[in-house]
Amino acid sequence: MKLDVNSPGYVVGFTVAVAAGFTAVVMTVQAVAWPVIERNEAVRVRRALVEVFAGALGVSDAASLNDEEVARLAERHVAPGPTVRDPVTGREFATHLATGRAGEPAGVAFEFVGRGFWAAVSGILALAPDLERILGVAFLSHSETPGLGGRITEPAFQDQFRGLLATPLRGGGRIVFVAQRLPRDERDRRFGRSFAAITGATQTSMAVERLLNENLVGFRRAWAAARGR
Amino acid sequence: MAAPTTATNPRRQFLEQLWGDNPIFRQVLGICSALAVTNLMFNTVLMCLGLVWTVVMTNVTVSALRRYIPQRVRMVVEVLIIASYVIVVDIVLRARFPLIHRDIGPYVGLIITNCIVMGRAEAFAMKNGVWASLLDGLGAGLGYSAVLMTVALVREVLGFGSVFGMPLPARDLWWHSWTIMVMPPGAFFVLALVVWACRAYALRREEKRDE
Repeated sequence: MKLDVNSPGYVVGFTVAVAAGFTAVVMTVQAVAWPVIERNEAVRVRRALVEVFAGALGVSDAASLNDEEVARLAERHVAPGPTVRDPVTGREFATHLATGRAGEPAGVAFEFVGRGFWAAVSGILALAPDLERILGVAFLSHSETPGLGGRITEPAFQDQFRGLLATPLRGGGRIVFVAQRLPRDERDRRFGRSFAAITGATQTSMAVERLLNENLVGFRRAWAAARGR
Repeated sequence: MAAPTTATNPRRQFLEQLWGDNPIFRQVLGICSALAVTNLMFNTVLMCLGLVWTVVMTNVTVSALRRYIPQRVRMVVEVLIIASYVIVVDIVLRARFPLIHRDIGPYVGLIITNCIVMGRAEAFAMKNGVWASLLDGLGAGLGYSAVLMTVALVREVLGFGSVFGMPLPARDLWWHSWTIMVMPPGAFFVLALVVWACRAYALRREEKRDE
């Protein structure tokens, strides 16, 4: 019997069969790869935590550590903290608490997400135990342009945030500032709070400033609320 | 039923896609990705590998099924096949190269919309055998890759002063950053120059052959 490829029944049946077949292939590949993807994600978050707490943990070059060393450090010095909720916006922040070699508090990190230039940017920001200074920032995911805004994941960009002041300014407003040239005058309100923009990626740099400020303000409120202040 | 075929020399078809019928400077297909990721050679290589895989596998699959694909839904089926292969590329990147996926992941999905893949499936794979379609897809992918790598080389050298991330020798002494080369307008300029140069050379060759 000759197959009529133009009959409505065949068209529908063929389309359904091809869709089912290729969907099955993709799902199989996904199922096989999923444990590896989950493991990669866990490793990535652990590495980001070690990087943002590197100074507090006495690690000079976190990027050179292999996965086993990162896992050991994270297991010894970083533990999941409480999830705190911003009473104003309702946003929740998952936290991680770091301890030093003698078990003293070394810092608190929270996971943040915000709007980048193209799509959401997520990462981890670590603060000193008194929330006065930023210990480190690590961007985990983004959709910025490769070679331009995508450079926010480079160590040279992320290292700028170490040591920046994280306390609100008198009168409110931004906590951290993006700048074309870093201010050198201590009387400048942005002194000690600024990071350099990426050349050619002004919009991404401004988006990073915006999302970090939103999340810093929100986290401080959430942390204070959780502590009953 | 009789399979639609056109009389084609597979080896000649492969070579045609590399130069005579190059998807970028002859057919002007796939320009969007040529502009988006060519500021760094490493990212460009990865995108090219992803595209070569997708166009080859799509061509082979469409060619193998060409007798059975109904005409009225052929494009739907082609897009389904293309999307499946691109998703596989994305999953493999996430599993095996997570850092690379973090940087170029959003652009991998754009391979689905790359005109070259659909163009070759529609124009060639639907009418030719599996082996010829494989070589056609391989030629189109490699032809696309050659032009993109040329654009990326110019942009990364002028924009970052590096090649595959390695700084040029004595860069601090003589190199000045051309920021425009890192940004999309730089891609327009370089691509236009590459297309002009290739076409001018091809035209001169044809004129000499005719003489």
